[in-house]
Amino acid sequence: MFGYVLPLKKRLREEEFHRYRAAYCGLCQSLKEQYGGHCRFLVNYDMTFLYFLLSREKEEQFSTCFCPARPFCKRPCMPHSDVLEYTADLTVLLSWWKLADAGQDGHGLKSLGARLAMLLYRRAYRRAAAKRPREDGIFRTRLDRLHKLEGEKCPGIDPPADAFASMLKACAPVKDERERRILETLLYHVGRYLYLVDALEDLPKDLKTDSYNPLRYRYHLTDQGLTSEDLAELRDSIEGSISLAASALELLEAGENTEILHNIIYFGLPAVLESVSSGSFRKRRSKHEGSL
Amino acid sequence: MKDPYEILGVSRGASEEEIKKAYRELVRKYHPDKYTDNPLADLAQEKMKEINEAYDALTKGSSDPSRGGNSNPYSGYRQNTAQGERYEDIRRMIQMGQLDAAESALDSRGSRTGEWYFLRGVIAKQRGWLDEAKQNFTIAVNLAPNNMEYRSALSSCGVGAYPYRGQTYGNNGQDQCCDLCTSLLCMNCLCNCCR
Repeated sequence: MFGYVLPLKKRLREEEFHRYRAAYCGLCQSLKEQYGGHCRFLVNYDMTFLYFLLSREKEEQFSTCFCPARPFCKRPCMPHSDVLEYTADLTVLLSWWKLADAGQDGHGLKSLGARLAMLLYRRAYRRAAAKRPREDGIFRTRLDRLHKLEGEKCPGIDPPADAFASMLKACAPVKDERERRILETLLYHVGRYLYLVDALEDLPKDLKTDSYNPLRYRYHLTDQGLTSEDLAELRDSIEGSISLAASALELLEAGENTEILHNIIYFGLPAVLESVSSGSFRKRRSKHEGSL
Repeated sequence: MKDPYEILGVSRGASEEEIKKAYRELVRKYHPDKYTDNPLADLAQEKMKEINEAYDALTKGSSDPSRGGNSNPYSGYRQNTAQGERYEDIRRMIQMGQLDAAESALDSRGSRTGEWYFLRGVIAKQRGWLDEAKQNFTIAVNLAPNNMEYRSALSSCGVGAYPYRGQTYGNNGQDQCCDLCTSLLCMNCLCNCCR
């Protein structure tokens, strides 16, 4: 969706790095198998995180798959599993609603682009929605609420962040009550983090084009960016979410995936927050990812 | 009961020292202080109990004063105010996790005292609405500057109050030489891609 939920590569052991990449490739492959080649483009790091959060069984062996971005080599990828399929379905649904959001309140070209993309993905979306009606319904109502709050120019950042975070919170279809509560808290705070980091990253652009951004109304910004005190306060608040996600992760029994998840929450998220708030995220991006 | 060695994450032949070390490490991780105002506080408490039992089983009941298993994370909220019982009721609702009910009970009260803003802050914090929590605690402290409970709630929204400590991102990259190295590495990766 956004690509703010990444592991910090230099802290990842080689074996885990391979597993991470295999999951990314596996998700891409699963999107292609279920929804067609054009849906490969929807693959992203945030959903790879979701895969690691939900999957519990260690794969016996990686399968290999063809990668159009590297046409001459076979890539190792996670074999098909229910969790992978679920992650692929949700990738389609969340991407669709993100496009719908951009189509509705974007300006000019961006809005047009989103609408065109929606034409392209309409069929995939319908299939995914038919398959996962519960999640689709939740995404729809939360996004409506988000739009309403945006329309009202809500002065707080927590109500819109809550609407967004509850979308992610719905992505934990686990039967066990204890585990579900942990996953919901974790996903909620990763969602809050995502929403606020995205708002921070888009702030200069939104101020220029006079678009909606929750931080504008919270900190009463006109054309200037955030003052350093406000930025520090916002970072505290986002770090609060990271630590609540971390405290939930400590309670989760994630087996083989613990280290990757630990890396993402403890190192990846703070690193991304750091580079977004210093304004160097997009520039650094290629470096940050390395060749993930 | 699960295997106590497994719970403490030590091998079967572990010495008493190792067990103690592992135990302390876990206590630090799941201590109720780290889960104050956390919606998962009860799960952390369960975990603490499990760890304490495992430790007791392995050390045959020797007591360790450093552990703090059963302290109630909400004990800080019990306080006698002259405000009458209704705020007490609302506090009770918050403790029981009925956040929506507590919120509407607060909304139905006309007078907005420091306590009112404080409780709103507690509700927001329980929900994970950290920014709103901080705003409410700030107002509460301004209205009742002498109340230590409000002050500690406000400071718990500040930096470093959460269990996780931010790990910053080493070099802040103006290092051109490093950029060159990374590009070379990337090229190398491309070459290796067909291994």
